[in-house]
Amino acid sequence: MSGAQLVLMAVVMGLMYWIARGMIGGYFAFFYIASPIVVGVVAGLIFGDVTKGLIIGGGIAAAFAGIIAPGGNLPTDSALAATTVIPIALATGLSVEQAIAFAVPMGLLGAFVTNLRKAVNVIFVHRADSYAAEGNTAGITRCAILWPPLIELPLLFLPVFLVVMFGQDAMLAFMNVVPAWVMNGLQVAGGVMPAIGFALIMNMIGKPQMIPYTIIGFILVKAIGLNNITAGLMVGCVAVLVVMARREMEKGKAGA
Amino acid sequence: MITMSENSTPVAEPNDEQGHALLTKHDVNRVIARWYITCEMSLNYERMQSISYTYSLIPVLKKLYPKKEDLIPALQRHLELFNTNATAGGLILGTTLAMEEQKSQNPDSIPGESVVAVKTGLMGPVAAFGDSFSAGTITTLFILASCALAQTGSIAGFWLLLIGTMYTLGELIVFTHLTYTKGRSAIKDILNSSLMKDIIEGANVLGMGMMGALAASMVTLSIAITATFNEATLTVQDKIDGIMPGLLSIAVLFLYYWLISKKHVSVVKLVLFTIVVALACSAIGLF
Repeated sequence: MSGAQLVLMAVVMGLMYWIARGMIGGYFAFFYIASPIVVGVVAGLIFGDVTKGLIIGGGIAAAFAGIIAPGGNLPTDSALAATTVIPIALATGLSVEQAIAFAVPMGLLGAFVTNLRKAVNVIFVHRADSYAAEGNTAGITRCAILWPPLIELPLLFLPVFLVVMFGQDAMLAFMNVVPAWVMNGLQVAGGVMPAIGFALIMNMIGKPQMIPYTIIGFILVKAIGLNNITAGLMVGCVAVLVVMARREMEKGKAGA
Repeated sequence: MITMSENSTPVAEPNDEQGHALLTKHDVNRVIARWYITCEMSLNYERMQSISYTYSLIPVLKKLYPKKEDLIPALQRHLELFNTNATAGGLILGTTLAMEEQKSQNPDSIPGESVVAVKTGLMGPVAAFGDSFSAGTITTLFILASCALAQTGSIAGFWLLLIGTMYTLGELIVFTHLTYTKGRSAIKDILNSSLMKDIIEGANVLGMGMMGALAASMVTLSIAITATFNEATLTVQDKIDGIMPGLLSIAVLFLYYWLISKKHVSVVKLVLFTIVVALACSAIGLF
């Protein structure tokens, strides 16, 4: 990419990151605009290959899947990874695996950016306090929806804009010098990363006694070869049976 | 703008002891829209989502408290620390609306501190429910299914993710209206109802099973070591697959699960640990 196309890509990616992590649009921004799948489609449109964008975006999204932000603490940032790596991957012809390998460390950097934003926004708490004391609702409105996005514009837009503008050449130069084992290692890390998200969710929703369900799900897909939707239906049926069995037991106890 | 003083006749007569019907469906929807779009925009370390929460309530508070001396304490109490899962937070939003409405009718019936106490008391349990059920299970399953589609190059992944995102909005709308209509005590009944228990238990079983199914298709790890004896090449990975296909992937999953649940290792450390170990193993040719 070069010229107007590159500038357009850099501006759009920067804006998407600003919307995604400035959370402009709340959970729509958080779940949708921030998703590497959506970033992949948009970057693909600008580049002229939506399918490639989807495939790379889907791969990066999978590597970060399951990592949610309990308490608003984002441990690793798929949106920064997507908005910077996908355009460069499209332009330089990286494979999905190579793109994931670069996305993994990029995601860690993003966690710092989003924490910085929460620190900066503290300024507006005290302003809002004084507006509240005057009963000035317009002032509170500005503190809620105007100042935070404005102050975050340089913080969120600029890094992505610059990386996309100047990252291509750097990436090509880097690819020529980076040893094969480093790329392979990062790809291995990208292949394993989804397990962190899954483990987090298991820790949140289940007790250790529920691990057999996880093993059943794993065997259905890996050893028996079912696809995820069929496996999901089977596990769903198990879930219904478990709930009904517990109800029956409670009824039995109540009747006795 | 509709203005009402406490002595004038309300536009609609309160239809129960909680003084409902002061707020219209439109008022409630306006608060929902404001909250959904801005909930995390002013997120900060000191009070988290409180500015956004206050901003969302402004139209309703102005309607309920037309006098400035009543409006000011209302604005101030909602600027107290608040942080929860924003869409399951509809349960708190509706409860807040019901309480503020009742308070505006009879200022002595609810002290301002109890509005704050109810909000802060609920935000933890609601966040735990929302993070595990809505974000952790339902939305994650949508995201993962979308990934699987997108990775094959299908645009359907893009649309499926939109449907999953719309689920969060639907949840907020339903929860807010439900708790507003049923009043301040409703939230405990809802969180403790047997139907809710069944749904959560079922979703947890499904979620646990799906984590295994998804790990099977999305976690990839194989050992690259081969040994050559005479003419025969022995691949370690083949031997492992002979014991159980994908044994390494599920072992990694349970290793992470153990580190998180028993050792309380943070995610950032896990990601760093993964990168370092992967690079080291790659350097010595293990993977």
